[in-house]
Amino acid sequence: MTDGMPYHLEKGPTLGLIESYLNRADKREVLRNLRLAEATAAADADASAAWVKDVLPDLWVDGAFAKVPDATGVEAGAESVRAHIIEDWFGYSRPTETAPWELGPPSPAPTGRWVGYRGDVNQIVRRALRWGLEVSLGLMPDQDPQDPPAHPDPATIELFWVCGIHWFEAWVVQRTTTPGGRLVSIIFVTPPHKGATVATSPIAVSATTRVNNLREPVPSTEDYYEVIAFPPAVTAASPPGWPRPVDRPFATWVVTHERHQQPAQLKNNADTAGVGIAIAPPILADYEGIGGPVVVSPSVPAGGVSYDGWIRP
Amino acid sequence: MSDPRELTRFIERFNQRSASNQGEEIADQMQTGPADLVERLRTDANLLDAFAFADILVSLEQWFTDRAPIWNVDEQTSGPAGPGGVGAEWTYRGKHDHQGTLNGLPATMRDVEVHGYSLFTVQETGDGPKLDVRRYIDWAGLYAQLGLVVNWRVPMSADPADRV
Repeated sequence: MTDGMPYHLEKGPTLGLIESYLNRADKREVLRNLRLAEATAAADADASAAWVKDVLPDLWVDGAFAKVPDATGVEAGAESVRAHIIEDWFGYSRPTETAPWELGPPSPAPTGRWVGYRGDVNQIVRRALRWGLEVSLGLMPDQDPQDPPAHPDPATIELFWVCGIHWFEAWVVQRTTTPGGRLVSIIFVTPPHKGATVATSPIAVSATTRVNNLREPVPSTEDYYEVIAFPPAVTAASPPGWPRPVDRPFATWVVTHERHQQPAQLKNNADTAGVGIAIAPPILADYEGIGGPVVVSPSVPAGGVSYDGWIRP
Repeated sequence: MSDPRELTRFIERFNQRSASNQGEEIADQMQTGPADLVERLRTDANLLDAFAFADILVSLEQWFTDRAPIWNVDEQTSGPAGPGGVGAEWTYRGKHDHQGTLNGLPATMRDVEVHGYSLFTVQETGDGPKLDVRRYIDWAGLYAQLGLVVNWRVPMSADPADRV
């Protein structure tokens, strides 16, 4: 499993796995554990982060974790991803890999790896998952999980991440689907993180998202990358065995220009001018879209999804 | 100075700051004797104060309403700059209450303090000597006071070959 976010919106392997196990689990049991985690969160920092491991225990033995970069196996890969969530997202720290988690440095230090942001991300994420499950089950926060839920067949939950806004938010979006069906989308909308990039083009030219000697990911042609051909272009064939793009149970498509460029880079905003002539405030960087529009399915390692929703080991 | 309204505002602002009513004379000297004007600015701190104020206020008043104490020039860091220039390090205070003027921003009603340095020199051109100004404004500091952020998610090429 590799992870990276060269696009503005991502599901990718990690959220894909969490989503998959969230929908396979007994949602009432997960909700009960999340509520319990909220109720006992104040005890200490280590306890308040324990839910990451505890609420979906089956998740962390999935074989896909063996593909985490530099991991020696499933257990090490799972521990690496959990540490990433607790340290880089929630902002906790610990002196050694086996020590209990502690709260990170106080204000004005930023939380985790977020740039220009401090907040209790742990609480937001936990509450968003709780509320998403409650919406899925049709149980108000004060209703017991043992109560007959309003929705005996819980709504499917999907997860997404959008990076690059002022502060950390999670959106829980609910809607009906087929008669009687419902979908709950939880979208994490976050500040940029240290080292965050976004590719100026959705078109992949790299075979892999992680490239030697590059710290940051790039779009890749790995599974399930695809560019839709629109007439008069020649219709591109999907790989054998794949459903037609319009028939797939799962897909994410980005529709945008083929590439983006800065037409004029600001180098010296104090350049010569006439005395007393009103100036315009500088826009520090502007982007111009060129070519397309293109419709692209990002590869799974670059934040996309597989057509059947599975993350393969 | 091509826009006559901006010239009028320059003169008004100069006279507001200096109380000398020399605004029209100064504006005229910008065209007819820029080298002499720069020499006056190099030796007269009060004139430099009012001149830098009038020059930058034509811009700042598009976005802000003055807030007391409106303005000061740092005497320690202002005055002659090089053999033929003069500079003023200044601070302006205002309130961002103008709707939709700063790249379309709604009025944030925030108090702002703008810092800058204005360097006045004479440039030789094909049409003769011209008065020139370079304004080094702390835009990042101003934008931060307005709550704007630089987006630290940097766009980079999708092609790994472009990144090395």
